[in-house]
Amino acid sequence: MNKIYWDDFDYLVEETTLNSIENDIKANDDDSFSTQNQIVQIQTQITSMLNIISNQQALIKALTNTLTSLKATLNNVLTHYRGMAMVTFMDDDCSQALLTGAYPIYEAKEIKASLACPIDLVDVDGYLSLAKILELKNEGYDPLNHIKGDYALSPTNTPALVSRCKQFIQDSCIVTPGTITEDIIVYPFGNIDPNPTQVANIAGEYIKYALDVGGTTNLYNNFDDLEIARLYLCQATGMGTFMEDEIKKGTGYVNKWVDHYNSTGKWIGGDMEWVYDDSNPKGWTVIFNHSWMLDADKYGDKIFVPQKLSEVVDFVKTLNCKIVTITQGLLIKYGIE
Amino acid sequence: MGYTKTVWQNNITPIDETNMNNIENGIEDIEMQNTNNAILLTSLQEQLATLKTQEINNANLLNTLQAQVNSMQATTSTIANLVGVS
Repeated sequence: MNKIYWDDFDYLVEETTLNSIENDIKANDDDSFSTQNQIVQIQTQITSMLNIISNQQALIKALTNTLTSLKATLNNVLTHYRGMAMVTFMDDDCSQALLTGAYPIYEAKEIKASLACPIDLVDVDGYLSLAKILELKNEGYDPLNHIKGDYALSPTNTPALVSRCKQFIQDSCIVTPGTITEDIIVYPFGNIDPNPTQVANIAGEYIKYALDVGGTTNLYNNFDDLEIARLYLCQATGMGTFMEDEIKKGTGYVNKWVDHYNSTGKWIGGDMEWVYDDSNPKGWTVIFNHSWMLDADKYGDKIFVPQKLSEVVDFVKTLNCKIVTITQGLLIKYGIE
Repeated sequence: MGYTKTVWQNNITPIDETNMNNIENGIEDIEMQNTNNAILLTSLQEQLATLKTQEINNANLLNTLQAQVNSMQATTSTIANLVGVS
């Protein structure tokens, strides 16, 4: 604005000065009008944005309804199998050795396994790459969040380790956010810490299901025992060992005396036999192995033997049970919220 | 809307109450309008920013929900096959 500083006799109240004032007022008025145009533009943007948000909210509602409906369908499907026997195969510390160890057997036998992937070792030499984990997931395998490395979970490091690994599997799409799988963690050394209960408590603040694969403590669901029988498959175990009996026990078989009679009905003796009875309690057996453990000099009879896995899979397939992944087993056992 | 200028001409346009008050009123109107516009503009810009954030959050939520639906459909289908329920 060309402000006029009026002073006696400096400016005359005449045409030039007065028109200058008029022009300034008009120009400012035009500026104000331009601001109002900006306001109208923003109001148009707001209206448009409100429409977009309204459409988004309708979509969110529709998808939420779909999700609710799918959950109901899934829970309904799950009721058909709840209480029946389940067996899970799992490769623990899943490294690249999986690809030449257990994986070819899983594929040949047409089963899907859970893979306890050390999340803090993804893309590290000797371990699976993120791309490979996602490929396996797309094939139907069940990658799980496994805290590994050279440290044990302790009350001090648990919050950072558990939350960081959980965040990584979400961000890298190893699990789908909001699904049961993101709430599962496999941690091997929690029970070695002097405060295993405290560790499990703290871990339970971040995840729902903790599979203490390597220790004597069984699996926790916020401290509730998941009632899983955990069996380690290696050279020392498998068919013909206690493992075979344990698998039978978990799938509704009992070892009991059975009398035998000849064709005329005469008793000819008897024997202890494994007999299946549908009314027997049935559990969930997790058979895990270490594909990476191949050095007999170092690990003795704890080494992985592919033939053993092949035999056990064949055996399990003859039993009255379903082979499920950990995620599927938890869904069957607990449904989905 | 809009200020009506007086076209001053020496010795013709009177410097009187009407013409001078037109100037005063014009200045007062602009001042008021500018103040109101500034307040409204700020408020609208804030609203727009809030809506943009909401739009982004909704888009993220939609992506998550879609992924969950896809995953749930796949899981339902897999488990239905597994337990022999069609």
